[in-house]
Amino acid sequence: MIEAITQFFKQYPLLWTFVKAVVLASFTLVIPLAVIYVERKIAGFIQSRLGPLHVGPQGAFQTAADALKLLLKEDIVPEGADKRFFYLAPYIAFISTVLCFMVLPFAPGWVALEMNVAVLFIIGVSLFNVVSILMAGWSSNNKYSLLGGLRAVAQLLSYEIPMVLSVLAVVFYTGSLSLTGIIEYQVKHGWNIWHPPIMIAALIYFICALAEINRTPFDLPEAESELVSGFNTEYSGMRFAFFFASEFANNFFITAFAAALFFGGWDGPVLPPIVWTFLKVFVMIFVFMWVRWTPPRLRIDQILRFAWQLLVPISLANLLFAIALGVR
Amino acid sequence: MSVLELALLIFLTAVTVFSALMVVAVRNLIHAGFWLLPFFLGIGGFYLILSVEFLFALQLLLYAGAVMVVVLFALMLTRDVMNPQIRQTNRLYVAAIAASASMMTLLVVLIYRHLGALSVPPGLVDSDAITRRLGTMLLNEYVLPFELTSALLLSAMLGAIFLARNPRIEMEEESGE
Repeated sequence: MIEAITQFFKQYPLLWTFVKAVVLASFTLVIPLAVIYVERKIAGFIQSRLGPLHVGPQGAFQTAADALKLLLKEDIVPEGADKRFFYLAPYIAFISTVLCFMVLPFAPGWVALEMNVAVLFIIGVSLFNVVSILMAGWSSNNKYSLLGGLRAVAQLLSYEIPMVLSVLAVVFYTGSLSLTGIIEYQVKHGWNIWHPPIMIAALIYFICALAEINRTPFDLPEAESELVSGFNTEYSGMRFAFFFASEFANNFFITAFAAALFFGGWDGPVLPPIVWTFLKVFVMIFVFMWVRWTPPRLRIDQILRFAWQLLVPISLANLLFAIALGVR
Repeated sequence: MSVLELALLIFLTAVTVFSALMVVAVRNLIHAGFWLLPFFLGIGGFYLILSVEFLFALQLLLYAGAVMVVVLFALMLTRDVMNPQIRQTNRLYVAAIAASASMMTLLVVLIYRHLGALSVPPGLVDSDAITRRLGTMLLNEYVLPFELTSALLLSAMLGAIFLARNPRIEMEEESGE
Protein backbone atom coordinates (compact mmCIF):
# COMPACT_ATOMS: atom_id res chain seq x y z
CA MET A 1 0.00 0.00 0.00
CA ILE A 2 2.64 2.52 1.12
CA GLU A 3 4.89 1.19 -1.64
CA ALA A 4 2.21 1.88 -4.27
CA ILE A 5 1.65 5.42 -3.01
CA THR A 6 5.39 6.13 -3.04
CA GLN A 7 5.66 4.72 -6.57
CA PHE A 8 2.80 6.95 -7.72
CA PHE A 9 4.30 10.13 -6.28
CA LYS A 10 7.80 9.39 -7.54
CA GLN A 11 6.52 9.95 -11.09
CA TYR A 12 5.95 13.60 -10.18
CA PRO A 13 9.05 14.77 -8.26
CA LEU A 14 7.72 18.27 -7.64
CA LEU A 15 4.45 16.97 -6.15
CA TRP A 16 6.41 14.39 -4.13
CA THR A 17 8.61 17.10 -2.60
CA PHE A 18 5.49 19.12 -1.81
CA VAL A 19 3.88 16.13 -0.06
CA LYS A 20 7.05 15.59 1.99
CA ALA A 21 7.12 19.27 2.93
CA VAL A 22 3.48 19.10 4.10
CA VAL A 23 4.18 15.97 6.14
CA LEU A 24 7.21 17.59 7.80
CA ALA A 25 5.31 20.83 8.48
CA SER A 26 2.61 18.80 10.26
CA PHE A 27 5.35 16.94 12.11
CA THR A 28 6.78 20.30 13.22
CA LEU A 29 3.36 21.21 14.62
CA VAL A 30 2.72 17.86 16.31
CA ILE A 31 6.12 17.04 17.85
CA PRO A 32 6.00 20.07 20.23
CA LEU A 33 2.89 18.55 21.82
CA ALA A 34 4.96 15.55 22.87
CA VAL A 35 7.99 17.62 23.88
CA ILE A 36 5.92 20.06 25.95
CA TYR A 37 4.12 17.21 27.72
CA VAL A 38 7.45 15.56 28.55
CA GLU A 39 8.80 18.89 29.74
CA ARG A 40 5.85 19.46 32.07
CA LYS A 41 6.13 15.99 33.54
CA ILE A 42 9.90 16.30 34.06
CA ALA A 43 9.55 19.80 35.52
CA GLY A 44 6.92 18.43 37.88
CA PHE A 45 9.16 15.54 38.88
CA ILE A 46 12.17 17.80 39.53
CA GLN A 47 10.11 20.25 41.59
CA SER A 48 8.28 17.46 43.51
CA ARG A 49 4.96 18.16 41.78
CA LEU A 50 2.76 15.86 39.72
CA GLY A 51 2.48 17.89 36.51
CA PRO A 52 -0.60 17.60 34.28
CA LEU A 53 -2.94 14.79 35.35
CA HIS A 54 -6.55 15.35 34.40
CA VAL A 55 -6.88 15.53 30.59
CA GLY A 56 -6.41 12.01 29.24
CA PRO A 57 -4.34 9.24 30.86
CA GLN A 58 -1.66 10.85 33.07
CA GLY A 59 -2.61 14.21 31.53
CA ALA A 60 -1.27 13.18 28.11
CA PHE A 61 -3.81 15.29 26.18
CA GLN A 62 -3.22 18.45 28.21
CA THR A 63 -0.92 20.03 25.61
CA ALA A 64 -3.27 19.11 22.76
CA ALA A 65 -6.10 20.83 24.65
CA ASP A 66 -3.87 23.86 25.21
CA ALA A 67 -2.98 24.00 21.51
CA LEU A 68 -6.68 23.85 20.60
CA LYS A 69 -7.41 26.65 23.05
CA LEU A 70 -4.65 28.80 21.51
CA LEU A 71 -6.04 28.25 18.00
CA LEU A 72 -9.50 29.42 19.12
CA LYS A 73 -8.35 32.51 21.01
CA GLU A 74 -8.70 36.05 19.76
CA ASP A 75 -5.80 37.33 17.69
CA ILE A 76 -4.82 40.62 19.35
CA VAL A 77 -2.58 43.15 17.62
CA PRO A 78 -1.25 45.89 19.91
CA GLU A 79 -1.98 49.54 19.21
CA GLY A 80 0.86 51.12 17.23
CA ALA A 81 2.39 47.79 16.22
CA ASP A 82 4.11 47.47 12.87
CA LYS A 83 1.30 45.25 11.55
CA ARG A 84 2.86 43.57 8.53
CA PHE A 85 5.99 42.51 10.39
CA PHE A 86 3.99 41.61 13.47
CA TYR A 87 1.94 39.19 11.33
CA LEU A 88 4.96 37.83 9.48
CA ALA A 89 7.38 37.07 12.35
CA PRO A 90 5.85 33.82 13.76
CA TYR A 91 5.64 32.29 10.29
CA ILE A 92 9.31 33.02 9.55
CA ALA A 93 10.24 31.26 12.79
CA PHE A 94 8.06 28.30 11.86
CA ILE A 95 9.32 28.10 8.26
CA SER A 96 12.93 28.13 9.43
CA THR A 97 12.23 25.12 11.66
CA VAL A 98 10.42 23.21 8.89
CA LEU A 99 13.29 23.91 6.48
CA CYS A 100 15.73 22.45 9.03
CA PHE A 101 13.66 19.25 9.22
CA MET A 102 13.59 19.04 5.41
CA VAL A 103 17.27 18.01 5.21
CA LEU A 104 17.41 15.93 8.40
CA PRO A 105 17.81 12.17 7.81
CA PHE A 106 15.58 10.27 10.28
CA ALA A 107 16.60 6.81 9.03
CA PRO A 108 18.40 5.46 5.92
CA GLY A 109 16.56 7.02 2.97
CA TRP A 110 14.14 8.89 5.24
CA VAL A 111 15.15 12.39 4.28
CA ALA A 112 12.90 14.83 2.46
CA LEU A 113 15.67 16.59 0.54
CA GLU A 114 19.04 14.92 0.09
CA MET A 115 21.44 17.86 0.06
CA ASN A 116 25.21 17.52 -0.13
CA VAL A 117 25.72 20.73 1.87
CA ALA A 118 23.01 19.96 4.44
CA VAL A 119 25.12 21.04 7.42
CA LEU A 120 25.73 24.53 6.01
CA PHE A 121 22.10 24.79 4.93
CA ILE A 122 20.86 23.97 8.44
CA ILE A 123 23.12 26.55 10.08
CA GLY A 124 22.05 29.19 7.54
CA VAL A 125 18.35 28.48 7.83
CA SER A 126 18.37 28.37 11.61
CA LEU A 127 19.58 31.98 11.58
CA PHE A 128 16.16 33.00 10.19
CA ASN A 129 14.90 32.23 13.65
CA VAL A 130 17.00 35.14 14.91
CA VAL A 131 15.53 37.39 12.22
CA SER A 132 12.01 36.43 13.28
CA ILE A 133 12.75 37.13 16.96
CA LEU A 134 14.15 40.53 16.06
CA MET A 135 11.13 41.19 13.86
CA ALA A 136 8.69 40.20 16.61
CA GLY A 137 10.54 42.20 19.24
CA TRP A 138 10.67 45.31 17.11
CA SER A 139 7.18 45.29 15.61
CA SER A 140 5.34 44.67 18.90
CA ASN A 141 5.84 48.29 19.99
CA ASN A 142 6.56 47.19 23.53
CA LYS A 143 9.74 47.85 25.49
CA TYR A 144 9.85 44.36 27.00
CA SER A 145 9.53 42.77 23.57
CA LEU A 146 12.24 45.01 22.13
CA LEU A 147 14.60 44.30 25.02
CA GLY A 148 13.94 40.58 24.68
CA GLY A 149 14.56 40.78 20.94
CA LEU A 150 17.85 42.66 21.30
CA ARG A 151 19.06 40.30 24.02
CA ALA A 152 18.08 37.33 21.88
CA VAL A 153 20.09 38.57 18.92
CA ALA A 154 23.20 39.37 20.97
CA GLN A 155 23.05 35.97 22.64
CA LEU A 156 22.12 33.84 19.63
CA LEU A 157 24.74 35.45 17.36
CA SER A 158 27.46 35.06 20.00
CA TYR A 159 26.71 31.38 20.56
CA GLU A 160 26.23 30.69 16.85
CA ILE A 161 29.99 31.16 16.30
CA PRO A 162 31.35 28.48 18.70
CA MET A 163 28.48 26.23 17.62
CA VAL A 164 29.41 26.54 13.93
CA LEU A 165 33.08 25.97 14.80
CA SER A 166 32.29 22.79 16.73
CA VAL A 167 30.06 21.54 13.88
CA LEU A 168 32.89 22.34 11.46
CA ALA A 169 35.23 20.19 13.56
CA VAL A 170 32.92 17.25 12.82
CA VAL A 171 32.81 18.21 9.15
CA PHE A 172 36.59 18.28 8.87
CA TYR A 173 36.93 15.10 10.87
CA THR A 174 34.55 13.07 8.70
CA GLY A 175 35.27 14.94 5.47
CA SER A 176 31.63 15.44 4.57
CA LEU A 177 29.14 18.32 4.55
CA SER A 178 26.19 16.00 4.03
CA LEU A 179 24.36 14.76 7.12
CA THR A 180 23.71 11.39 5.52
CA GLY A 181 27.42 11.18 4.69
CA ILE A 182 28.40 12.00 8.28
CA ILE A 183 26.05 9.34 9.68
CA GLU A 184 27.22 6.71 7.18
CA TYR A 185 30.82 7.47 8.14
CA GLN A 186 29.91 6.79 11.77
CA VAL A 187 28.08 3.57 10.91
CA LYS A 188 31.34 2.38 9.35
CA HIS A 189 33.94 3.82 11.75
CA GLY A 190 32.09 4.05 15.08
CA TRP A 191 30.42 7.07 16.64
CA ASN A 192 32.19 10.42 16.46
CA ILE A 193 31.75 11.09 20.17
CA TRP A 194 34.50 8.58 21.09
CA HIS A 195 37.19 10.68 19.37
CA PRO A 196 38.90 13.31 21.60
CA PRO A 197 38.49 16.43 19.41
CA ILE A 198 34.86 15.59 18.70
CA MET A 199 34.24 15.01 22.41
CA ILE A 200 35.28 18.61 23.08
CA ALA A 201 33.23 19.77 20.10
CA ALA A 202 30.18 17.92 21.45
CA LEU A 203 30.56 19.60 24.84
CA ILE A 204 30.75 23.05 23.22
CA TYR A 205 27.79 22.15 21.00
CA PHE A 206 25.79 21.15 24.06
CA ILE A 207 26.41 24.48 25.80
CA CYS A 208 25.65 26.46 22.63
CA ALA A 209 22.53 24.41 21.94
CA LEU A 210 21.20 25.33 25.38
CA ALA A 211 21.78 28.99 24.47
CA GLU A 212 20.32 28.64 20.97
CA ILE A 213 16.99 27.29 22.17
CA ASN A 214 16.78 29.86 25.00
CA ARG A 215 16.88 27.46 27.90
CA THR A 216 17.87 28.34 31.44
CA PRO A 217 20.65 29.30 32.29
CA PHE A 218 20.50 31.07 28.93
CA ASP A 219 16.80 32.02 28.82
CA LEU A 220 17.40 35.79 28.82
CA PRO A 221 15.37 36.52 25.64
CA GLU A 222 12.19 35.55 27.46
CA ALA A 223 13.18 35.86 31.11
CA GLU A 224 9.72 35.74 32.69
CA SER A 225 10.67 37.48 35.92
CA GLU A 226 12.27 40.44 34.10
CA LEU A 227 10.65 40.84 30.67
CA VAL A 228 7.11 39.39 31.12
CA SER A 229 7.70 36.94 28.26
CA GLY A 230 10.37 38.66 26.18
CA PHE A 231 10.01 38.99 22.43
CA ASN A 232 6.63 37.21 22.30
CA THR A 233 4.95 39.24 25.09
CA GLU A 234 2.39 40.85 22.77
CA TYR A 235 1.51 37.71 20.85
CA SER A 236 -1.69 35.79 21.49
CA GLY A 237 -3.72 32.99 19.99
CA MET A 238 -2.47 31.25 16.90
CA ARG A 239 0.58 33.45 16.32
CA PHE A 240 1.81 32.72 19.82
CA ALA A 241 1.16 29.03 19.16
CA PHE A 242 3.40 29.21 16.10
CA PHE A 243 6.24 30.77 18.11
CA PHE A 244 5.79 28.18 20.82
CA ALA A 245 5.61 25.29 18.37
CA SER A 246 8.71 26.42 16.52
CA GLU A 247 10.62 26.83 19.79
CA PHE A 248 9.88 23.29 20.96
CA ALA A 249 10.30 21.81 17.50
CA ASN A 250 13.70 23.55 17.46
CA ASN A 251 14.41 21.84 20.74
CA PHE A 252 13.71 18.53 19.02
CA PHE A 253 15.70 19.50 15.96
CA ILE A 254 18.83 20.68 17.73
CA THR A 255 19.07 17.34 19.57
CA ALA A 256 18.40 15.38 16.38
CA PHE A 257 21.19 17.37 14.71
CA ALA A 258 23.48 16.52 17.64
CA ALA A 259 22.50 12.85 17.35
CA ALA A 260 23.43 12.91 13.66
CA LEU A 261 26.73 14.73 14.24
CA PHE A 262 28.03 13.00 17.36
CA PHE A 263 25.98 9.90 18.23
CA GLY A 264 25.71 8.12 14.89
CA GLY A 265 22.18 9.26 13.98
CA TRP A 266 20.10 6.18 13.26
CA ASP A 267 22.95 3.77 14.09
CA GLY A 268 22.26 1.17 16.80
CA PRO A 269 21.70 -2.56 17.33
CA VAL A 270 18.45 -4.62 17.26
CA LEU A 271 15.83 -1.83 17.11
CA PRO A 272 14.90 -0.28 13.74
CA PRO A 273 16.87 2.90 12.79
CA ILE A 274 13.93 5.31 13.20
CA VAL A 275 13.44 4.15 16.81
CA TRP A 276 17.11 4.78 17.54
CA THR A 277 16.89 8.33 16.20
CA PHE A 278 13.91 9.12 18.42
CA LEU A 279 15.45 7.34 21.41
CA LYS A 280 18.65 9.41 21.18
CA VAL A 281 16.68 12.61 20.67
CA PHE A 282 14.47 12.07 23.69
CA VAL A 283 17.36 11.10 25.95
CA MET A 284 19.08 14.37 24.99
CA ILE A 285 15.87 16.35 25.43
CA PHE A 286 15.63 14.89 28.92
CA VAL A 287 19.18 16.10 29.68
CA PHE A 288 18.30 19.57 28.35
CA MET A 289 15.27 19.75 30.63
CA TRP A 290 17.25 18.48 33.57
CA VAL A 291 19.68 21.39 33.05
CA ARG A 292 16.82 23.81 32.55
CA TRP A 293 15.24 23.11 35.91
CA THR A 294 18.53 23.02 37.84
CA PRO A 295 20.78 26.15 37.56
CA PRO A 296 19.54 29.75 37.80
CA ARG A 297 19.60 32.36 35.01
CA LEU A 298 22.81 34.26 34.24
CA ARG A 299 23.27 37.95 33.47
CA ILE A 300 23.57 39.09 29.84
CA ASP A 301 27.17 40.36 30.21
CA GLN A 302 28.24 37.11 31.89
CA ILE A 303 26.67 35.12 29.06
CA LEU A 304 28.34 37.16 26.32
CA ARG A 305 31.74 37.18 28.04
CA PHE A 306 31.55 33.40 28.46
CA ALA A 307 30.85 32.96 24.74
CA TRP A 308 33.49 35.31 23.38
CA GLN A 309 36.32 34.90 25.87
CA LEU A 310 36.04 31.19 26.57
CA LEU A 311 33.99 29.23 24.03
CA VAL A 312 35.25 30.91 20.85
CA PRO A 313 39.00 30.43 21.57
CA ILE A 314 38.48 26.85 22.78
CA SER A 315 36.40 25.88 19.76
CA LEU A 316 38.92 27.51 17.39
CA ALA A 317 41.79 25.55 18.94
CA ASN A 318 39.65 22.42 18.89
CA LEU A 319 38.94 22.95 15.19
CA LEU A 320 42.69 22.89 14.46
CA PHE A 321 42.99 19.79 16.66
CA ALA A 322 40.23 18.06 14.69
CA ILE A 323 41.81 19.00 11.34
CA ALA A 324 45.18 17.65 12.50
CA LEU A 325 43.65 14.33 13.59
CA GLY A 326 41.06 14.10 10.78
CA VAL A 327 40.90 11.41 8.13
CA ARG A 328 42.22 13.56 5.27
CA MET B 1 15.61 25.40 -20.20
CA SER B 2 12.14 24.20 -19.34
CA VAL B 3 9.11 26.45 -18.92
CA LEU B 4 9.16 25.87 -15.17
CA GLU B 5 12.78 26.96 -14.87
CA LEU B 6 12.11 30.04 -16.98
CA ALA B 7 9.11 30.97 -14.83
CA LEU B 8 11.20 30.46 -11.70
CA LEU B 9 13.98 32.62 -13.13
CA ILE B 10 11.57 35.44 -13.98
CA PHE B 11 10.00 35.21 -10.53
CA LEU B 12 13.39 35.29 -8.79
CA THR B 13 14.54 38.25 -10.87
CA ALA B 14 11.34 40.13 -10.05
CA VAL B 15 11.68 39.41 -6.31
CA THR B 16 15.36 40.37 -6.24
CA VAL B 17 15.01 43.60 -8.20
CA PHE B 18 11.83 44.68 -6.40
CA SER B 19 13.21 44.07 -2.91
CA ALA B 20 16.50 45.76 -3.82
CA LEU B 21 14.52 48.81 -4.93
CA MET B 22 12.48 48.70 -1.73
CA VAL B 23 15.65 48.65 0.38
CA VAL B 24 16.71 52.02 -1.00
CA ALA B 25 13.24 53.53 -1.47
CA VAL B 26 11.52 52.77 1.85
CA ARG B 27 11.69 55.67 4.32
CA ASN B 28 11.56 53.55 7.46
CA LEU B 29 15.10 52.27 7.95
CA ILE B 30 14.02 49.15 9.85
CA HIS B 31 11.71 48.20 6.98
CA ALA B 32 14.62 48.75 4.59
CA GLY B 33 16.66 46.34 6.70
CA PHE B 34 13.95 43.69 6.58
CA TRP B 35 13.59 44.09 2.81
CA LEU B 36 17.18 42.83 2.57
CA LEU B 37 15.91 39.36 3.43
CA PRO B 38 13.96 38.63 0.19
CA PHE B 39 16.81 40.26 -1.73
CA PHE B 40 19.45 37.92 -0.29
CA LEU B 41 17.13 34.93 -0.69
CA GLY B 42 16.55 35.86 -4.34
CA ILE B 43 20.29 35.93 -5.00
CA GLY B 44 20.55 32.54 -3.26
CA GLY B 45 17.81 31.25 -5.56
CA PHE B 46 19.95 32.09 -8.59
CA TYR B 47 22.77 29.96 -7.18
CA LEU B 48 20.30 27.14 -6.67
CA ILE B 49 19.05 27.38 -10.27
CA LEU B 50 22.67 27.16 -11.42
CA SER B 51 22.88 24.10 -9.08
CA VAL B 52 25.76 25.52 -7.05
CA GLU B 53 24.33 24.29 -3.76
CA PHE B 54 27.47 25.21 -1.86
CA LEU B 55 27.21 28.90 -2.75
CA PHE B 56 23.48 28.79 -2.02
CA ALA B 57 24.12 27.49 1.50
CA LEU B 58 26.85 30.09 2.03
CA GLN B 59 24.53 32.84 0.80
CA LEU B 60 21.92 31.74 3.35
CA LEU B 61 24.48 31.47 6.13
CA LEU B 62 26.48 34.65 5.56
CA TYR B 63 24.09 37.11 3.93
CA ALA B 64 20.51 36.13 4.69
CA GLY B 65 21.59 35.02 8.17
CA ALA B 66 24.56 36.80 9.66
CA VAL B 67 24.91 40.03 7.64
CA MET B 68 21.18 40.67 7.72
CA VAL B 69 20.93 40.25 11.50
CA VAL B 70 23.99 42.39 12.17
CA VAL B 71 22.63 45.16 9.91
CA LEU B 72 19.29 45.07 11.73
CA PHE B 73 21.01 45.04 15.10
CA ALA B 74 23.07 48.09 14.14
CA LEU B 75 19.92 49.84 12.87
CA MET B 76 18.11 49.25 16.14
CA LEU B 77 20.95 50.89 18.05
CA THR B 78 20.81 53.91 15.71
CA ARG B 79 18.98 57.08 16.67
CA ASP B 80 15.86 58.25 14.81
CA VAL B 81 15.44 55.29 12.44
CA MET B 82 11.65 55.55 12.19
CA ASN B 83 11.55 59.24 11.31
CA PRO B 84 10.16 59.72 7.77
CA GLN B 85 11.43 63.34 7.69
CA ILE B 86 15.04 62.27 7.84
CA ARG B 87 17.06 62.86 4.64
CA GLN B 88 17.75 59.76 2.57
CA THR B 89 21.07 60.99 1.20
CA ASN B 90 24.11 62.58 2.76
CA ARG B 91 26.78 64.79 1.23
CA LEU B 92 28.65 61.80 -0.22
CA TYR B 93 25.90 60.97 -2.71
CA VAL B 94 27.89 62.11 -5.75
CA ALA B 95 30.76 59.77 -4.85
CA ALA B 96 28.28 56.97 -4.16
CA ILE B 97 26.61 57.40 -7.55
CA ALA B 98 30.02 57.43 -9.27
CA ALA B 99 31.14 54.29 -7.43
CA SER B 100 27.98 52.31 -8.16
CA ALA B 101 27.89 53.49 -11.81
CA SER B 102 31.48 52.37 -12.40
CA MET B 103 30.81 49.04 -10.67
CA MET B 104 27.74 48.54 -12.84
CA THR B 105 29.68 49.36 -16.03
CA LEU B 106 32.43 46.97 -15.04
CA LEU B 107 29.94 44.15 -14.42
CA VAL B 108 28.03 44.77 -17.66
CA VAL B 109 31.27 44.79 -19.69
CA LEU B 110 32.56 41.64 -17.96
CA ILE B 111 29.33 39.71 -18.38
CA TYR B 112 28.93 40.82 -22.00
CA ARG B 113 32.47 39.73 -22.89
CA HIS B 114 32.14 36.30 -21.28
CA LEU B 115 28.60 35.63 -22.45
CA GLY B 116 29.71 32.46 -24.24
CA ALA B 117 31.57 31.02 -21.28
CA LEU B 118 28.65 31.64 -18.92
CA SER B 119 25.99 29.73 -20.82
CA VAL B 120 26.36 26.45 -18.95
CA PRO B 121 23.13 24.49 -19.22
CA PRO B 122 21.72 24.46 -15.68
CA GLY B 123 21.09 21.16 -13.98
CA LEU B 124 23.91 19.36 -15.76
CA VAL B 125 26.85 20.51 -13.67
CA ASP B 126 28.30 18.42 -10.87
CA SER B 127 27.98 20.65 -7.81
CA ASP B 128 30.62 18.68 -5.86
CA ALA B 129 33.18 19.30 -8.60
CA ILE B 130 32.36 23.02 -8.59
CA THR B 131 32.87 23.23 -4.82
CA ARG B 132 36.21 21.41 -5.04
CA ARG B 133 37.39 23.59 -7.93
CA LEU B 134 36.30 26.73 -6.07
CA GLY B 135 38.33 25.69 -3.02
CA THR B 136 41.51 24.83 -4.92
CA MET B 137 41.33 27.98 -7.05
CA LEU B 138 40.83 30.22 -4.01
CA LEU B 139 43.93 28.78 -2.32
CA ASN B 140 46.14 28.52 -5.43
CA GLU B 141 45.58 30.91 -8.31
CA TYR B 142 43.62 33.53 -6.38
CA VAL B 143 45.37 33.28 -3.04
CA LEU B 144 46.66 36.87 -3.19
CA PRO B 145 43.26 38.58 -3.71
CA PHE B 146 41.79 36.15 -1.18
CA GLU B 147 44.31 37.11 1.49
CA LEU B 148 44.06 40.81 0.58
CA THR B 149 40.30 40.63 1.10
CA SER B 150 40.77 39.10 4.52
CA ALA B 151 43.30 41.79 5.43
CA LEU B 152 40.79 44.42 4.27
CA LEU B 153 38.04 42.87 6.41
CA LEU B 154 40.37 42.70 9.39
CA SER B 155 41.29 46.38 9.07
CA ALA B 156 37.59 47.27 8.77
CA MET B 157 36.95 45.32 11.97
CA LEU B 158 39.78 47.09 13.81
CA GLY B 159 38.50 50.43 12.52
CA ALA B 160 35.00 49.66 13.80
CA ILE B 161 36.34 48.75 17.24
CA PHE B 162 38.41 51.93 17.30
CA LEU B 163 35.39 54.08 16.37
CA ALA B 164 33.09 52.30 18.80
CA ARG B 165 35.23 52.57 21.91
CA ASN B 166 34.59 55.60 23.98
CA PRO B 167 37.83 56.72 25.70
CA ARG B 168 36.03 58.59 28.47
CA ILE B 169 33.97 55.60 29.62
CA GLU B 170 37.00 53.33 29.50
CA MET B 171 39.02 55.67 31.70
CA GLU B 172 36.17 55.81 34.21
CA GLU B 173 36.00 52.02 34.30
CA GLU B 174 39.73 51.76 34.90
CA SER B 175 39.73 54.29 37.72
CA GLY B 176 36.65 52.66 39.23
CA GLU B 177 38.16 49.21 39.48
